[in-house]
Amino acid sequence: MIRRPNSPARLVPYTGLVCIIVLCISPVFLNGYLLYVATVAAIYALAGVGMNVLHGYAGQISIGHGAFFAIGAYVTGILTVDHGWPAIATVVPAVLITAGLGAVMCLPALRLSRWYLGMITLAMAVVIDDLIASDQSVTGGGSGLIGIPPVSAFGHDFTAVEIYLLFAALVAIALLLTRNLRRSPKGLAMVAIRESEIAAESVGVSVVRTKFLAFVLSAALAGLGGVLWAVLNGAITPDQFNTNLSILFLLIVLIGGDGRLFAPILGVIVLQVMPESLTVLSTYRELVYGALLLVIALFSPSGLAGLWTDTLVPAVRGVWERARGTRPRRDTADSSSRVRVGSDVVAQKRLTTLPTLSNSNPAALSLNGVTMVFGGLRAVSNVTLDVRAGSTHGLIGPNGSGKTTLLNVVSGIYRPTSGAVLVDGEPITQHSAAARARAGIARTFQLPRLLDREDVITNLVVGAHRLRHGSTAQWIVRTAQARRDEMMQVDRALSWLDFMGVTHLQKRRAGDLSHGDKRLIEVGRAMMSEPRLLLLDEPAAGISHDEIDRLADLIRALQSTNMTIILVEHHLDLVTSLSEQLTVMNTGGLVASGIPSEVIKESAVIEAYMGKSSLGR
Amino acid sequence: MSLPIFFDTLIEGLSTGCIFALVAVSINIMYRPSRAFNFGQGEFVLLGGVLSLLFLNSWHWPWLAAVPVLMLIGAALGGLTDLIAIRPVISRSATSSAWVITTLALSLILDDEIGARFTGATAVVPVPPLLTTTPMNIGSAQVSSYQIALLVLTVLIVIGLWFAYRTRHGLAIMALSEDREAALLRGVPAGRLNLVSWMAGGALAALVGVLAAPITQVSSGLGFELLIDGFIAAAIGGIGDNRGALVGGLVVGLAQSFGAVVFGPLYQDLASFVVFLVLLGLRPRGVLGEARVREV
Repeated sequence: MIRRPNSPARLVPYTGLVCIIVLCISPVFLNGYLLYVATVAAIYALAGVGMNVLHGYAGQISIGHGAFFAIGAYVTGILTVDHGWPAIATVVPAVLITAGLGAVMCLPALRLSRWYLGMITLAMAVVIDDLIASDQSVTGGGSGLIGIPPVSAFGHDFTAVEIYLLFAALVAIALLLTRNLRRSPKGLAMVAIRESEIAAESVGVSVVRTKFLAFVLSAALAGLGGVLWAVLNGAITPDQFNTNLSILFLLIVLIGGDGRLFAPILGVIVLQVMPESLTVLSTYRELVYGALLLVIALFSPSGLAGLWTDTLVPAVRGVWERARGTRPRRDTADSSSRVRVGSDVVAQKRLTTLPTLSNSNPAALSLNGVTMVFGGLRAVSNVTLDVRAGSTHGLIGPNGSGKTTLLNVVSGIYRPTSGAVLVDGEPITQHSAAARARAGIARTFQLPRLLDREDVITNLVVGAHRLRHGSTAQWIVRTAQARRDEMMQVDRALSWLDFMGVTHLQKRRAGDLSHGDKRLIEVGRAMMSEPRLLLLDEPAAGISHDEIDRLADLIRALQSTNMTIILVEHHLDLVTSLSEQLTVMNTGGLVASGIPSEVIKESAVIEAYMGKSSLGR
Repeated sequence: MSLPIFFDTLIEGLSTGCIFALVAVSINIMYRPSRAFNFGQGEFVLLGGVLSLLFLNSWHWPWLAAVPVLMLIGAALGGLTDLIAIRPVISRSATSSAWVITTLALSLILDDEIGARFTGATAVVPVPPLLTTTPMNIGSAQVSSYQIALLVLTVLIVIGLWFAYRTRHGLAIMALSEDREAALLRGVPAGRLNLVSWMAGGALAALVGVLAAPITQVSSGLGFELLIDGFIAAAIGGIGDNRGALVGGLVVGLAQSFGAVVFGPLYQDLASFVVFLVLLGLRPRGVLGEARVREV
């Protein structure tokens, strides 16, 4: 069933956008205190945009961005008051200093669990607040700085309305740029880290570098917010920047709808404009913030934006379409359906042949005396193995025999206790998982690790990470080249979906898929990276017979492209029919290796699988 | 720095360090089974301190009668936090870090409540029987019997916990910490052990509040400071490691007391923060910790 393109139901999502734009323009008709409140809200929204990148996209928690805001404000205050700079010239040093400080602060925390960052930023904020309040000579101590000049350009002092419009325009620009970032490989890398760091590494994302980018960007935006705060108020004191401010920034994003584009706008409307109008609430600020945080975290993780797009819009559309009798069945893909990554709309093409893989140099893998010890357990013991380039190598063995551990050593999740891993004769033992993925080693996991909150197309496109280059600046302004690359990756993703026969899943959230479909999508994600070596970890586990047949066809098609494949599998028929070489592991060591039909007849193999007694029969 | 000042600074650092170490230990007790960190721990300690003023100074309860009651209140608070902020979150997803938000939320609510009821009057808090905060001279150093008792008690608590984690239930908690899924499959009662641990952590936090009251000024900002210093101590020692927490607590205490003497009292928090960042850079898993292998 094809929806008429001019159906009013299609416009429902845009009514939200229109409301936001109207709300953002309406302060122009206000004056005095209410206009000031709206201008402050715009400043907080700017810091909120940064928090949305850090928490909404990359999933990292900061409880210290109030300190970056304070430092931005103080850099402007000190340069204008003590050194006579014009306010506008202080923007660059303020942003650079906050970004630099953010870089120093986040580095020690980025390798650890994400809540460490929350605690460290909190400690940092307290230390910085103390320093600002106590240092009389530079920051003016408790009495702060006064006499920051108002915003002016070409000898004209901006009116209050003009200042509001200027700040709102900055927020709009920041929103546009972060929207572009979200769709770029860097933004997808952030989302991948939020969903699963191990999955992110497996497609070549450098986890520390990506978190670093998110943190520095968000610190810079908070610093810019501080600059605007200083020039708006003309005077700054330390008590304007307490810990509640840091919590406010986090709360703005959580209430607005973590990771949604307009979350910061919705968040400030709820948290800043409404409480300021009801002054009673300001006395109980901590209590109100605490209660709101608790309710959001427990009952509505996707915030107001989530409420709008996931509940309200579908409900309104449903009512409308039921009234018109045009309600389409759910999950039905028709040939006219269109696909979006972010919001880019691309017409779909139909393909039936294997999507082209541009590389034709499969990797040869050698393991040289690899041993992996965990505490007292030798999970892998002195394994030496050669996998010929372009072949499919099966790896079987009972549960706990070390197959997955071996795969983790090859893909770089573990560094072996001793021994070496070589690809095409080059040792890669010390390379990180991400570096190996970038060199063309792709893998799937025993339990599929997808970006559960993202749609299937996005899950495939993130697989192409290693093939997509370009600077962050290039991506956030969306050069023609960036747009072309995005179109191309979406096309490739569609052709893989088509090839696997699951085009109808393209817009589904990965977390909602069946187990078998998740496995297919994960293989598809691996293929998007055009791997030279593909590691499949029990791809047939827990899927139906039909799905196993589909999987076998897929693997055969991949074999025809001359790719090196290592297949860890319990399903003996599948693995013997697909592999050219078969290796059997037991208790961490190799038991047998050779041509599949011969290997499975060897007594040691039967013993490993069936136990000793079955040999006697 | 003259020798007497050096000794005074050392003893000052060691006794505040004990408080930080105990806060860190109480954080660890809660962290082990749940792998969640209580952002409200500072308020737990603060509540213990504020209530000790009420019980000991206003109501004139004997010290030994007041402490068990305060610890019970702390345990109730810890248990309540587990039920409200931890259980709903980790039952949804064991790897979720939404507990950062929920425990932070509870800490804000608690802070507001304590702030609204606590007038902020500082008072001399009685110490346990047989002890005194009046310093005595040992060589060129001045130490009070309370400070010595505090150090001994801290070490005893760490040793006692070391034995407690070698009992059947203690080992089950360690198993939960190492590999939650596997422990659940072996029938470890995760929910109950979690609740008990959060109650124990809450009780210890309240005790720390009582112990800290005679040597630190109880003020509404104290909870926040103790949360941060306790976290830094726990992180220096490696989260979950109680012996590490003892080392970490003393390092933080000494960094602050010597930082205050050498650079001035305004810079004592900066001193401990810088020491923390450096140690974290060098030993991210804690001074006594081993590298942990990730699970796939």
